[in-house]
Amino acid sequence: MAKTLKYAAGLAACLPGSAAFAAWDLNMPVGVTELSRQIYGLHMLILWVCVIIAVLVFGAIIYSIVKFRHSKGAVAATFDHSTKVEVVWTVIPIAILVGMAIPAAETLINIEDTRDSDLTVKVTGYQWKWHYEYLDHDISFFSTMDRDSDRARQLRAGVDVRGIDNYLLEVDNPMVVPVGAKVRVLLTANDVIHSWWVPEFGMKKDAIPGFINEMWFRADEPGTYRGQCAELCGRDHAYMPVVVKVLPREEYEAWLREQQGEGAAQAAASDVTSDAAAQIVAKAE
Amino acid sequence: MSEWVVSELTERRDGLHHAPASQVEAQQRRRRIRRTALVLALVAVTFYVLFIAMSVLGVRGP
Amino acid sequence: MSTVQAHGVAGHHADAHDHHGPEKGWRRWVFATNHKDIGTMYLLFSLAMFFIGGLMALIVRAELFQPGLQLVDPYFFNTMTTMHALVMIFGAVMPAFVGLANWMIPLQIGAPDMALPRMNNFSFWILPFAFTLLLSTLFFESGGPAGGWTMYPPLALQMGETFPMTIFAIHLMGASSIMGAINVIVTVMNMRAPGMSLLKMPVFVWGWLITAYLLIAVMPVLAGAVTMLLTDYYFGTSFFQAAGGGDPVMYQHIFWFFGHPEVYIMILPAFGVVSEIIPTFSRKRLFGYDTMVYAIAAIAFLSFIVWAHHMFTVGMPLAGQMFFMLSTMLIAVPTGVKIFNWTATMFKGSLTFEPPMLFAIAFLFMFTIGGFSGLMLAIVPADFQYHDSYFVVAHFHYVLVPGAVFAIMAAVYYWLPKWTGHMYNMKLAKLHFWLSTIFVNLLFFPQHFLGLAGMPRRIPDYSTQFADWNLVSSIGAFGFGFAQLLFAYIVWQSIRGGAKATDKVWDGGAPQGLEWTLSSPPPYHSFEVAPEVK
Repeated sequence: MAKTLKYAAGLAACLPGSAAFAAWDLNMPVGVTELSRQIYGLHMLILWVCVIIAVLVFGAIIYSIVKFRHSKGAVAATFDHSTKVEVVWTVIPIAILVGMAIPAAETLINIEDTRDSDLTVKVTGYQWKWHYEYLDHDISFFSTMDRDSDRARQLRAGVDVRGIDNYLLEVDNPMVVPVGAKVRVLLTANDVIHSWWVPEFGMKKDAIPGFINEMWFRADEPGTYRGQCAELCGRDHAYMPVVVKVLPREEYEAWLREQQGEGAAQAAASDVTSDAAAQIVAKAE
Repeated sequence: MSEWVVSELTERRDGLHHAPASQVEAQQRRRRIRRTALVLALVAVTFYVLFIAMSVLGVRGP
Repeated sequence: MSTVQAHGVAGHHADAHDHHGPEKGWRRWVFATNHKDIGTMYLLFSLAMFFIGGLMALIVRAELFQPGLQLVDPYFFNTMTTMHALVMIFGAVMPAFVGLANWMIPLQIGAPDMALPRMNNFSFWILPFAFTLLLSTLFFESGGPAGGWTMYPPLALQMGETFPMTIFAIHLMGASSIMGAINVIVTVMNMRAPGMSLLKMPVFVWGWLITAYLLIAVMPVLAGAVTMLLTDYYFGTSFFQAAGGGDPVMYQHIFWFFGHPEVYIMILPAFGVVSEIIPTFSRKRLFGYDTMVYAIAAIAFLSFIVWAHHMFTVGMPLAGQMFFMLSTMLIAVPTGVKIFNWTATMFKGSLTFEPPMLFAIAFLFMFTIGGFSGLMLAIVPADFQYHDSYFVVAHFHYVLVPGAVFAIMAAVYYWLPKWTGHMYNMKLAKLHFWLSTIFVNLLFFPQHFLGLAGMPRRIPDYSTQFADWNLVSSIGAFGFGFAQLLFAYIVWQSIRGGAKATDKVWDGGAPQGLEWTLSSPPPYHSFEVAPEVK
């Protein structure tokens, strides 16, 4: 059961990558977290409010264009103001805005609530890769774009990028988190400002040198979720994908053990960078 | 800066050609123009200095 | 607006008026102090920059035509997006509006010229030098500026020798804008014809007056921000360098304190233009003139307290995010009032659809679309998805291209016969309109979908799922770009000759305002005797 679920979720996550289905995508993904669904709901709410207003306003304009044509003998009226009408169309928009602001504020409060997290991962942006550090488990690694994409992305590489799976959206070491866990992400950067974005989680946040930013997500379905750096960070801004693998609890535990085994060997290599990161953390606190 | 600009306004052949009601009115207008321009320039400079000063205090302050 | 009577003012020195035309040759332009000449130079300069900036946009769209990197290096791509923005904002849109202000404000308020004609000359002639500096960096070995037009540090501090050139160019553009703004305010406050009270001024003049105040308030702020970048780069200060105890986010706050009013600097004069054109071709007075003026003022005021909505993702306190969300949403109210009032102006009018009216109506539709996406972007939680995606690109291009640029084209088509004395080719102008409108939507509407699907902005290459809409968008871009050649041709034709325009130009319509009491083209020195407005 769990396996079929995982398979289905994995398939769903892959779909945006398959040209046949989602290439003419029109809308935001609903996402796989409580926050992303709330955000999607807000997005659709505002969209429909805008659509209704658009129908009314554009309808009035089109009606005027069709009905009051000089060529059809329309004679201009002489009115040029009406305080009553103007008050009405000042007050009604205010009411609509209040109606939109309330759910938005509720969601925002929810987004900012990073308490009671199950897992904290510190993400550091570099030009042009991400560094993930599991603060509770002493695991850390860099995440760079995979070789296939990297080869194909070169100027006039002559590679058909459509033949590459998840072109530009695949990394060597993805971030791995357990399903259903509230993951707190701490963001900072080592050189310039980056921004960590996974559309399926509904959130992006800037990674800024000298600052520690916070955000959280709780993925409800296992799968692989992809995003990109969203803040211009120099020449290879387009080539630092974010890939998050959400695994069932036991697979995550297995991954954790495997990493900690390797961890000792890697620790020496990444000492320098984690020192620098530790200093930033110390300073920010 | 505005001194010479304004004083020549009515004489220059390709500048302003205006027929004020009287010399007094013309002079008053010139003075008003000069004053407005100077005040606005001062506002601009103040904003420039103000924002840098704010940033200096922001960085070096407590 | 009001009945106009031109009559002599008692005691004027008729003998002081040696009626003469412009100087001959290059001296006319280099030493220009005539508001019409300077206005013309601004407009032509802006047109040239529009094509240069457009070319850069086409390079961007050509690279994005399909996934994979076919044409340019990513660094050059970033240079193109950066330069495109700087050239279009500071070189095309702003000078176009200053050009319109130069031409039309004295004519509309019954003044003989701008109040400070020599400063006027200076503020124009700075621009070619500023843009020569800026564009010359493209030929540097280190390449042009590539950190985005917002020049966020620390990335901006990674620029090479292009850095001081870019900053100096921005200082020059800022100085030019401030001088232009001072000139507008001084002219409007002191040079109005007798009887032209503030609330009798055409809305175009109102839009520009308020814009000029915005310019004076925020251009120095931009100058301050880039000066601090400069000292960070050369003199070891740490305003924005985290390593030295500085604050990169503070730059963004300062920049957007400039940047948001800047957005309105580019749209308030457009509001003015549309408020002139719609009543003319609706044969009906502007609905709610007073409200329209107050709405512009309200938008200008609000523009100072919404800046942080450009940077919701930097991590602000909850209260800050709430404040900027609510203040931003509030802008929808006066903007909505304007849209409703324009609609009410057309309602029960008697409409004809000359090219200026077509562009004004298109403005009404598409600026509103840009307004809607702006409202969506104001909702902070949703902005966490939209931010820095192509949705934002679609949003501000809807506001700037079918918004500001269409308004400029509407203004040109509206006043061109007045300027040149010749009617232009209406058929071609209508063709230009339809091509522009169709292609601009093909160009920018799909970018909403791209952004929502997750494509970040400012990337030279993208994952294959974004391929289809990018293809559509690029086709739209080339269509729109080439359609503009038609615009240049129409303008050129009208300058060269054509059917004689009457004084009122739009005889079938109901043009209001003093400019229509003059001949077409107006005399080189107009309103030497102030008209009296009753």
